[in-house]
Amino acid sequence: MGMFIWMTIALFLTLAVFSFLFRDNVVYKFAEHLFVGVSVGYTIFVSYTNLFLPRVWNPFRRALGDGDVLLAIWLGLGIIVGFLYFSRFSQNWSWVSRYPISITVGYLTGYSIIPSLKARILSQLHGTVVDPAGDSLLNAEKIGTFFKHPTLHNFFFEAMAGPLLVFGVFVVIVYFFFSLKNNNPVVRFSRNPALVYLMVAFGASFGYTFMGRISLFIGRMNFIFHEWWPIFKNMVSG
Amino acid sequence: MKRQLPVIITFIFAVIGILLQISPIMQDRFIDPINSWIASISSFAVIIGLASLVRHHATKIRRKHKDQFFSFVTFTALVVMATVSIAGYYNPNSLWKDFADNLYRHIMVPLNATMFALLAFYISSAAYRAFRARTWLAGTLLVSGFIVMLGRVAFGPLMIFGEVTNWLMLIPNTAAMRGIMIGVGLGMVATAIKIMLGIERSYLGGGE
Amino acid sequence: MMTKDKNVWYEKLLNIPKQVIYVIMFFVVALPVLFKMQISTYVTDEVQRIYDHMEQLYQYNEENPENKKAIFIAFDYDPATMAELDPMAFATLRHAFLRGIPVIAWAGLPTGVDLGEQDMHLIAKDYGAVYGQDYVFLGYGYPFVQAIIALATDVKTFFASDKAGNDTRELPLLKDIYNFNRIGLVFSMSGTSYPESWVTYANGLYGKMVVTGSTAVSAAKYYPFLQTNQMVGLMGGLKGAAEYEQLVEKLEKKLNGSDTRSYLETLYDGKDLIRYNTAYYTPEFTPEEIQLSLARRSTARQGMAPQATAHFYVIILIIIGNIAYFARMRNSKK
Repeated sequence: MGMFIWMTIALFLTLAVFSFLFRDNVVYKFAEHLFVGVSVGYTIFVSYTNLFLPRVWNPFRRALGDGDVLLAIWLGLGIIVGFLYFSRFSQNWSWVSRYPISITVGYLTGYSIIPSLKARILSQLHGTVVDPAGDSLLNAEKIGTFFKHPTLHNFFFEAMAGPLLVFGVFVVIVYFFFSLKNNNPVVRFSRNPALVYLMVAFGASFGYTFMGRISLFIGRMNFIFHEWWPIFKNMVSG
Repeated sequence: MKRQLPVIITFIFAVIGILLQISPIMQDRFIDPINSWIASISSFAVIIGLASLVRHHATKIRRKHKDQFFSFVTFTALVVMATVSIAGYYNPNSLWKDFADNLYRHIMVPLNATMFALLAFYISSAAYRAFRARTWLAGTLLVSGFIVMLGRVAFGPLMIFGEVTNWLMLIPNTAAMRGIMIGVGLGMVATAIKIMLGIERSYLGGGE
Repeated sequence: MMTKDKNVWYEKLLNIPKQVIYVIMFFVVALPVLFKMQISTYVTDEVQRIYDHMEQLYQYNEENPENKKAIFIAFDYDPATMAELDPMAFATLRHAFLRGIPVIAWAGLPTGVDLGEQDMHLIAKDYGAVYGQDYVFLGYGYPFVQAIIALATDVKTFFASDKAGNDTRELPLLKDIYNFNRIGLVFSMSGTSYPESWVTYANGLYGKMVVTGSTAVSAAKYYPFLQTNQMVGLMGGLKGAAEYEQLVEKLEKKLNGSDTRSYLETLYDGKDLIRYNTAYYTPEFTPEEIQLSLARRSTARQGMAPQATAHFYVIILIIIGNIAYFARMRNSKK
């Protein structure tokens, strides 16, 4: 019975939010404000139990308990620096909060340079030259294979896959870097193919986006018809 | 003191960040204490953000505007959710914990999920009104979208769309997204270097 | 200039009230859900690779029982995108628990912490997995990058306590498995750009195999990572979830028999119930729980039929919209 009551509350709130599709109304407004309240309340709970305790308080206490005075002093210093954030609430002293900000931003920035360069640029360029197995993407053997077994699948997925990928990356990069008016023949030539590649990719993204949005609605319908309804039916039939 | 010192601190900690990756000695000895130390500092940023948010809602209630009732709803929900959840945390085998779980599962989850489910309706209406094949490039986008939409739900005779979708995703889509990714990646690395060297300082905020 | 005649067919079509579009959309999705229509979905290479990597991990664990490897799941989502990502998380957890692969997890978004935790307990209950021994939920993985870095050394330093408040040094699983050395696969389930960060740091710096469960909205941008093997698998949206769900169900039926209901009803019979801490889940099923557990096994596949009907509907809408638009254009030129 308890579960049914809670699920019925969830059903009511679901319908309350959907009511906005027709017009803004009091029930929706109630649901909206309730949502803001529970979200912030929940984040307070998470910040205390899952941030302050495990990241700030418990490590400090653990270091003291282990007798590791040096670590305890180090972590204590971190807590003091963290407290400098509170200076944001004062108009005269808000500049003090720049110290903790500069520490975190500096560290993250420094730490991100090498991995970003590797993951987003070098590995991607490498992947445009050879596939993970180490074969060149412009592999003439694959084109030869197509002529031995001329099927559409072999043509698109084997023979032309590598060359089209390499060509696509090249024209898109040229298009992005020289998108201002430029009469260089390579840039001029790249423009239309690059736009075709981009439009195909954006079209695919649109298809996926639509799929994603519908899934969210299906999720709510699943809740109503596959979770709430069977339990309601069981309740009624005893 | 107000601006120069933070820039110097940023540089020092950026160098520490780089050294932690390239120096095995730094990695062995210092990565854990430095990482935990910075995590502890960053945690305060969230706490500050929350404090500002709560202050904002409290002010709205105090000002007694026409939607005061709804601000009360927000504030009551906030207090109840936070209190019950923390009580449940300290009493894991109690009714508090059950109540907290149910508040999350049956109030917060449906509200959050349904807010986003509204997008399904908006996107279909927007697609009907705005998605036009005005030029051949827009037509390409449209056809590609159709193929992917059909391809990802393909079955039986529609399986040809599935095959074409796989190809579209693996070749033209990968090529275009890679071009964008490399461009964005270069931008990110350049910005990181600018922050490190003190050329980019907007993260420190305005003022003196 | 021509005046618009509102009674012309194309003007009527172009001015359909949005509420009409909404109501039809509602029925187009609700009816297949209501009538439990199902369509079979094909398995793409990117999802099959996830399944194969998990099976390889299981083989490795069988050959090295003293040196088992775990999987790591980052629940980097909140209720907003749970409709797409929960089924992926369920299928992954099922696969892991069926194969006895230990699971360590955290949540990357503050509002998704309980979602991740409750998901883990829900699925663990279906297989009698014990908290602390078979799976651990660390809580909120913030700050994100530092949390990933912590996995390279000892995660217990960063997470002094888990979500439930236990001292992480007291959890048996974390005594053996506490860093990337003993983690075979990293899963990031997300609708944000977190999977890119997992690729950047976990793969880029530590060479870990990263699998992404992504909302459909973000899926297209991850294909470049797939081609370079920086991501070894990708579940894109509900379709990806349905594929993995289908593969795992086949495995479950092979291992536990085809009658899942009676498997659940007798799961805890004759077991030493003292092992299970009721703070996480009670080791018995109510009829409602069995019903929900059975429904949960096919959430994504149930969603594919309404997904298909909605796609057909919007394609028809766009075509009608374009026909009406071009008719208006042609008429105005005249």
